[in-house]
Amino acid sequence: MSDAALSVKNLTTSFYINGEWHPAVRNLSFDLARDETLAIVGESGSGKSVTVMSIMRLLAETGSRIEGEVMLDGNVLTGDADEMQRLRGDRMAMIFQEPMTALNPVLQVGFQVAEPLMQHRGMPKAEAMAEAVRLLEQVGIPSAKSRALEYPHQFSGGMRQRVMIAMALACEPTVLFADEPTTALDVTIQAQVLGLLEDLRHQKGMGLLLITHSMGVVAAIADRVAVMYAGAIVETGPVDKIFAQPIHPYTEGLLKSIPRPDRDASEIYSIPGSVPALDKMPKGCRFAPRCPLSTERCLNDDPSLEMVTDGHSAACWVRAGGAS
Amino acid sequence: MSILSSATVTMTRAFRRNIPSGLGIILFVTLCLLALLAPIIAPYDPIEQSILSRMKPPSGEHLFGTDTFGRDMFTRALYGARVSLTVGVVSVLLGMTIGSVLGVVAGYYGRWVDPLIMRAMDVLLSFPTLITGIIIVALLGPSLTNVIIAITFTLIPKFARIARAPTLAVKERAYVEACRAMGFSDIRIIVFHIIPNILTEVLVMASLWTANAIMIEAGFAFLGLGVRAPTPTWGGMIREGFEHIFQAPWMSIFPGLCILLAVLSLNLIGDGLRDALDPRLKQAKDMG
Amino acid sequence: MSILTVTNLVKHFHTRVGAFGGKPVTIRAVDGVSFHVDAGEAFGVVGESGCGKSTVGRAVLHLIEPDEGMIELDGTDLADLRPSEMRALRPRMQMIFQDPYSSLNPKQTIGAALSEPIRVHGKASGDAVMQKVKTLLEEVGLPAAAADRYPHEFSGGQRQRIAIARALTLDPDLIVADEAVSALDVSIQAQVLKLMKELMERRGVAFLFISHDLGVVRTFCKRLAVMYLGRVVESGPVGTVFDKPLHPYTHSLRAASPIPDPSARKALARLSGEIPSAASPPSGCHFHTRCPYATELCRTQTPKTVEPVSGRTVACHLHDPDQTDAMLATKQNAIQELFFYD
Repeated sequence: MSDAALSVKNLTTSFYINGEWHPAVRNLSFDLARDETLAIVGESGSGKSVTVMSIMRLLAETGSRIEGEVMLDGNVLTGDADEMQRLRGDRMAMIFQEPMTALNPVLQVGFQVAEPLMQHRGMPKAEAMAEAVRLLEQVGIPSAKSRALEYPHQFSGGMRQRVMIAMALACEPTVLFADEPTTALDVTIQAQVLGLLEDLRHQKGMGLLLITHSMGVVAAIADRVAVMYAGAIVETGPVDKIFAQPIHPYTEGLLKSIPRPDRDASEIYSIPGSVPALDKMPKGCRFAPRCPLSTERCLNDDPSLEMVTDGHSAACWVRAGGAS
Repeated sequence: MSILSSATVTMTRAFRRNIPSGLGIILFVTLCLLALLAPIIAPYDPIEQSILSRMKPPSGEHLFGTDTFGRDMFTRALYGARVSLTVGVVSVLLGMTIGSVLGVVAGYYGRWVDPLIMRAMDVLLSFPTLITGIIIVALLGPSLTNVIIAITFTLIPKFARIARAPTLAVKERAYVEACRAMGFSDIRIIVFHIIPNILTEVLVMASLWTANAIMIEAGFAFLGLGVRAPTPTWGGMIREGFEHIFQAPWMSIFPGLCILLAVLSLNLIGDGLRDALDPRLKQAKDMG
Repeated sequence: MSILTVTNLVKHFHTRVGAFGGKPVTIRAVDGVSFHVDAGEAFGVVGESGCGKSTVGRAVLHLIEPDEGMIELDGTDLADLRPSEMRALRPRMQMIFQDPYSSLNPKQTIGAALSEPIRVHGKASGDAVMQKVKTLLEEVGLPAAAADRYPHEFSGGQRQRIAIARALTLDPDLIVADEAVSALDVSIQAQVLKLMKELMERRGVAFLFISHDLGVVRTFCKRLAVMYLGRVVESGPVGTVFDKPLHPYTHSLRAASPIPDPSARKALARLSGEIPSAASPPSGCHFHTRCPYATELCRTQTPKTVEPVSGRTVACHLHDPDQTDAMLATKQNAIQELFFYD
């Protein structure tokens, strides 16, 4: 039995496009411990959001196919609709990029935070509302008692994201999925929300799965990192290793292309080309066409993740050997 | 040119995979052809009376039967199509052109222009169609032209509203601002950058309202406000047949069916156009 | 030699909030902003949402009419111009927008979009127009065949290249780039930044580069102005402003900006409080509600802009040598190591 809060094995999610199944996420495996932050980082088209949607079973059933095994709290999820509905918002919860669209504009904020408690815990409304106020206080909303009676449009972007967090944490989930939780926020507000997420993760001892495109955000709060490219994890390891000694040329290129506020850039580095479309994936290593190190083998065979140093793996024929 | 080509693109996209709307087009085109070729294909004269063959039921000789004056109903239905379709198409073309221009101008310029135009449209809209018809016909007398004028007047404010809403959205898009930054004139921006992008919305409504206009014309004719006898119109034929609905039901049923077919075909076309709008929206969302 | 000089620019928006007319609200989007951009230079404007940076960009291009202040392009005051003169001057300054999906007319081919401004302004005629379009497409790294295609056939990064090519059709002296790379993925962002930098160097075109991303500004710009709620709080060379900020807001902004280096991880800098609304900005110094060093003076009196070091300006009482407030003096001593001049 696994000790991990969340364990994903060989997750493959495919979409049906023009008469063919194309995998958007391929053979993805990772573990998330309790009281740990794992960041899945990647650009658009990397499959990072699809990964979370697949685990939560939030994808439309027609035109998509999910394979692989997901274990939550040591229990294998069957993917059964009733089971998932019971678990979502209770054992696993999610916060989104745009809190305005994720909150119901015509319901009081306090009621929306109380809803999961009524749904999953069967708590009476008055009690749930009182608990909602406590949760809103916990996420740092000033004068929570009166603000609980207000509506989403009366909140600023940062405050709305706090409300979302309060809602997600209402039932003390084992795992919290955060999909680009700070992308829509200003930097000073982003720092506040990231700090809050980190504090709450420690307090509640939950696993935090952070989906982001920003290496800066990753560096600020992640313990471990999984870098995704074109549907697969190309490199994974502890955050300091990933940033200090990246193995995969994609990770390396990505780190070099980030414009930094703390030092002058003598010249701008950029990875040539762009992420291939789902139905036009190259057959070997999917990064090979953009890779400065690519060899004949890279163009023909797809490398698998290989451990290079303790807990630090990469999928690269040149840098990580790879199984033949 | 760019307006036409974008309209064609929208049309072809609409009908490539949509069978019902394809049927609608075939039906409507057939009706138009029948109306156009009426003098050639009609077996009888639409006006000449024949006392001997009054109120004959449908037969091989008279496909739709005959009316109280012994005129062939099929012939009259063919000629009636000319009036009904002309009224429908011409009044919508006029209403669409005038109304859309007013709506686009109101939406694009905003400030005082917008309330000025739109309040005027509200006033027009506040008259029920029938009242507008009665007033205009009372002032100008019943004739084909005046029926068209009356229906055009009721359509102008509707088209103005339909054109204004997407104009407000399109003018906020960055490419319109880019046009202004490049020093393009307002007319150029409206003609080449706003109108092509609101055309689909307007065309959808145009096809649906053509159906509406045909029904309004029939209504006017039924009330005796439209084209004068003996010129056949579908609405007028129904009115004439109405008095004998129990003895000679075919006299109202066949012109009624004609109206039904015309309206149905236009609604199918309109639905097809509307569907053509959707995939584009979806595509845009996927990319965003 | 400055290509653009903005002096005391003011733009307020009047709107109504609430049902049935509602109560009138004035949004002080830009409230007395001054700066200048040298020819061929990239000048950055940074700030968070609601600081008025986009309004500045639009006012510079006269896409919105400023309420007060002067905007001079190459010595010509734009306010003096008749509409026809303004239209003739427009080609000299162009704009690149944030959203590459809405900045191109979906019903126009790329070729049509690029040739239209060339024709309208008579920059070329006949076959020379398409020739120029093809050269421009190649200059921004796209195949000449792109001219026959529609915007939806291109990715976000490619569309941004097309938008850049369109801005270049009229050979401008100044390009206002409003969050031009913010919507792009990191690897694409770097490509577009690189392209813009090459164009700047090759063509000598100046950029007014508006962004919320300090990293992007540091990479692309030489000098910058930091805005907060409609005012410039600090300006100067990018490197020194970010490394040794004078204004407490610049300091917080810099500290809150994520750096891709976990070894530099510290307790996340948490500037307390929300960004106030531009409809009801705080009295005195707008930043006093969030400033750790605020005194009574900051709450009541608007700080004037001073130049403690040549080439750097700051609007903060702490740096005003003429201020003799006692409270302030103790604060000034306490934070001496935090803000130091070079």
